[in-house]
Amino acid sequence: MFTWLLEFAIIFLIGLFITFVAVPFAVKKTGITGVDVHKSTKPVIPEMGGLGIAIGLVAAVGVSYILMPTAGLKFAAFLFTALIAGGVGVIDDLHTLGPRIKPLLTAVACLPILLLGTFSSHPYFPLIGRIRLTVVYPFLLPFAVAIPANAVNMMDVLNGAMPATCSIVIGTLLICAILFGQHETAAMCAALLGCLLAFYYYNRYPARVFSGDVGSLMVGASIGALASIGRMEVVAIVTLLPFIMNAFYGLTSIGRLYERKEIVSRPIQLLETGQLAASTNPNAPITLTRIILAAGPLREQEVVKNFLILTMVSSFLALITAALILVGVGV
Amino acid sequence: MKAGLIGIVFFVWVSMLFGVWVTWKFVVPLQLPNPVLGGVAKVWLGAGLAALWLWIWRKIANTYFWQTIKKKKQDTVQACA
Repeated sequence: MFTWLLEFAIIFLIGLFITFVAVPFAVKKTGITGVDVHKSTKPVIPEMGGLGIAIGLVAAVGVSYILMPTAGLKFAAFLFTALIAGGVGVIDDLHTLGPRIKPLLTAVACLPILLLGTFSSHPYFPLIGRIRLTVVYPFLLPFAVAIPANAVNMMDVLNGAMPATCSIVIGTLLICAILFGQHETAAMCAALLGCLLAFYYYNRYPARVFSGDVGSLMVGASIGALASIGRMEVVAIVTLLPFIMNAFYGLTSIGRLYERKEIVSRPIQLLETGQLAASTNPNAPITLTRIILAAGPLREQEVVKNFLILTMVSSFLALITAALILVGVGV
Repeated sequence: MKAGLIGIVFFVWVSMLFGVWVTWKFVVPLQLPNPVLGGVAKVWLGAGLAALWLWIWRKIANTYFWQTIKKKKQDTVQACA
């Protein structure tokens, strides 16, 4: 057990250090910028900091392979899934993809898991145990990657929200992977957690770097990959509930897939005081941010704090779900 | 905000577990004389349960949002008066 924990710590630190160094380098090289619309001064911020996360992830997963060479296929499936989704994000950052094309392309990112056969078609369910989904599971795999990828992308609206909430999600998956005896999955969680915490340093309020779609799609797809490879599908769904809620409310209130830029009635408004307020326009999408702000205007950091509380609650419920799975399996 | 939204998260989680249990206990063991018809019935029942779950979830979130907005407006009017 001590050896495992030491390996996770090394992988985590490699991800943390390399990402910390790579983010400034990546944003300097690309030179792509975006406007921080939730500030009255509308500062211009370097985008595509997600490339730094990608560099950190490659290094940390590479070290994982050196430490655990028998799990090479799983590491390769995880890394290529993340990189394909990141590639889709790069295209989206440079030439905005349509609201239908983006989910379709992110679904393609599941191919490494499918082709390398690193999934199990017997997922665990709470209280029930293992369920055989031999025929159906491969058809569900594109959704398992595309849904978290796009849900995380839709949550990446405020400074620090994406890396902070995703760190809690991945931390929960790390604990569950250890509980389930999935040490290779725990190593991948440690790698991603290190990268995200380093990125949080740059993205926290007031943000100095944005992740861009390259970062959010890659992190979301990685969470989907971790869930499929580590057989933690239900646990991941529960811990991702705030993200799913945000995407679900937005999609159902608009009635179709949409791109943020095409929304005429914005869900939130920036007040002169610098606070954010919920729009009362019935045509605006009902997002999680708008629901949080319904009770009254808040500062950007306060909204992110609410995101964190909700993610902590869902992660706690995910841990109970994991315990119920272990009961069902009879461990 | 926190209590209301946390309540929705909790409802979604409990109803999801309950839905999985109902599906496993009653839908999966369903036997019809024709196995193909049985399979189709299981898929329809499962999809129907999922659709009902999503509909209730959406209804609760919408009601919560507009009620909160309404209450906020009333509070502002009262404060001004």
